[in-house]
Amino acid sequence: MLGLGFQVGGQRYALSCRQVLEVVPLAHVRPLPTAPPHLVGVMVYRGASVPVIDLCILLIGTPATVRLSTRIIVASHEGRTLGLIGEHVTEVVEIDEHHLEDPGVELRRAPWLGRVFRDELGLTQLIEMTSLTSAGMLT
Amino acid sequence: MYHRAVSFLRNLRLSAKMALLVVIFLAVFVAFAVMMRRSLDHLKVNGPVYGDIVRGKDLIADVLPPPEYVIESYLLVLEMTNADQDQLPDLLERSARLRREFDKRHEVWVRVLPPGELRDVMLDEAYPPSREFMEVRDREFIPNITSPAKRQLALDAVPRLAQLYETHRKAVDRVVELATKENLLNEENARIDLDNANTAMWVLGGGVVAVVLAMGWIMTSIAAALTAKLRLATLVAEKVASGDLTARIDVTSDDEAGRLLSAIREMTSGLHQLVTRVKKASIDLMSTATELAATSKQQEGTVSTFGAATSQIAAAVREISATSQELLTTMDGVASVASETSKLAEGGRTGLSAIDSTMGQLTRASETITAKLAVIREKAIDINVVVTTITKVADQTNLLSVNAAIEAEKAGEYGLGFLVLAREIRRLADQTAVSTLDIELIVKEMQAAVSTGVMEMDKFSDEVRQGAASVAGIGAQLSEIIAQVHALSMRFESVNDGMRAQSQGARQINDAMVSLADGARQTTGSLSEFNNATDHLRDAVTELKQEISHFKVQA
Repeated sequence: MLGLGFQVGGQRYALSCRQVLEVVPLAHVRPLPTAPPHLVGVMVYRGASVPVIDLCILLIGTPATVRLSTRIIVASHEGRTLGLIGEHVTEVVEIDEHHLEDPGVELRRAPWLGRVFRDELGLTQLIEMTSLTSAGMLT
Repeated sequence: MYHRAVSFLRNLRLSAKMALLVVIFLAVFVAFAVMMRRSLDHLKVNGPVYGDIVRGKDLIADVLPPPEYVIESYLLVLEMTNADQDQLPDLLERSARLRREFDKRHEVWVRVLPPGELRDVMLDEAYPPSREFMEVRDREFIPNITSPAKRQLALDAVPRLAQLYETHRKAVDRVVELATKENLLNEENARIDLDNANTAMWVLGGGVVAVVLAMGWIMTSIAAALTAKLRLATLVAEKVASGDLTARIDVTSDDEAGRLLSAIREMTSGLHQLVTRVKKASIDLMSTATELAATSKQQEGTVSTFGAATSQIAAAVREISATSQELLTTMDGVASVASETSKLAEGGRTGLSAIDSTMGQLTRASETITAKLAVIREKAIDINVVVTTITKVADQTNLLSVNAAIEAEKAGEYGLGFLVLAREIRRLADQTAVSTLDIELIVKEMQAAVSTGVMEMDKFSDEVRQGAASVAGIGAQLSEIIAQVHALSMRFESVNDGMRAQSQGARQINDAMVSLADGARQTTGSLSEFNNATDHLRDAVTELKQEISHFKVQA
């Protein structure tokens, strides 16, 4: 399986390419008043408005650094489309599904952190779209 | 006319003026006293005016029936007893009027009579019977007399009325007697008062006349004293006018005349001192003239000594002239040394100006280098812009390759070849990005180097500028030295001139000494003329002494 690799706070993460619609540069995101901090606003993608989550705020509490490599990953799961902001969104990685391992912990407050796999650069953790599109994330 | 009167008064002597004043005052006062006496005689009690007024009052009292005396009312009662019925109203009306007058007059007397026997008799003895008479008449007689039926009752009342009238009449007789006595007493009192007033007037008049006469006597004596002092002053002034300054004046009083006398005394003594001083001065003048003559004799001797001294001075002057000539030669040597110094300084200045121009060139060169460095910096900025563009292209390429890889994955088996292609493109883009990053780094380093170079160049320019300023300062100092040396040589010049002038002056002094010796000879001639003038002065002083001796002064 092919995954889209990116970084948050210097740590490597990946998202299954089957759920990714497209990677787009940082576009104008309209803020939403009273929204939780990680829900930075909504953007227009192919004529429809899509909510945008800053993964840096969600995972480590600081906004993503503005770089050319900091991009918005447009992903969808079960008809629900989301914009996810990540740093160093420049690689696709080959993931051997037989080598995916359970990290051994289940964080109740971060159910979107999935299994991990190893390569020559170290550990990379998968992000689960199932938990990200749940209703609790967008209220 | 008025002016004549005024001038007459002004020329009158003081005592005559006083006497005139006293006489006028006495005349006016006597006229006033006579007038007063005549008016008092005319208006006094039992005098003509008083007699006229009392006669008038007596006439009225004699002619009119007295309202306070009820005789007329009594007569009317008697008349009514015999009258017919048709005559009664007229009589009744008269009776009523008499009653009203009686009451009115009674009120007057109660008010005006002073307390005393007369008032007691009038109000307590004469009034009660008359009042009762009126009451009985109005109550018992008049109401009954008008009706024929009661007429008898009225007639019965008449004897009682007659009795009351009799009592009243007796009391009134006493009143008349008392009033007459009182009038006589009053007239006597008035006469005594008048006599007293007359006596007082005579005494006062006598007193006034005596005071006025005393005043006249005092004023006359004052005028006499004043005149005597004025006469003394006149006498002294006449003496002073004739040149006698020895007169003595005794001032005994401090009034106006006394002050005049003391002023004259001061004036005389001032004149006395002046004349004394003039006499003394003339004596001094005389002795001075004598001394002057002696001095001029001495001077004649001195002048001949002076002739010998001048020839000695001339010899000394010649020596001075020789010495200054020597000094002149020495000064010429000094001047040549100074001009050499000046030349050396000039050479130094020329060298410095060469350094100065070199410095200027250096400054210009460093400015050119700075300008070129600025151009390099601009170029580096341009390179940066190009690098940014390349970076953007690389970024876009990377994005495209990522998206292409994602699409290829979704295409499954068919997308495998495409996936390889996408990976290759991404690798190229990444290489480009790295290269551009290298270029960017190099450019940044170059920019830093250029900035450092510019700063160094600026520092160097500053140093060059400071060096140029120092060179200019040294040049200015050298110029100053040269100017001072020039000034020095100019001063040497002036010293030389001075020396020359001195030697020339010595010669001139020599000439002057010769002419001075001539002058001394001429002075001897002048001195004999001066002796003559001194003799004239002595004669003049003798004359002055004679003039002054006209004034008599105490020794």
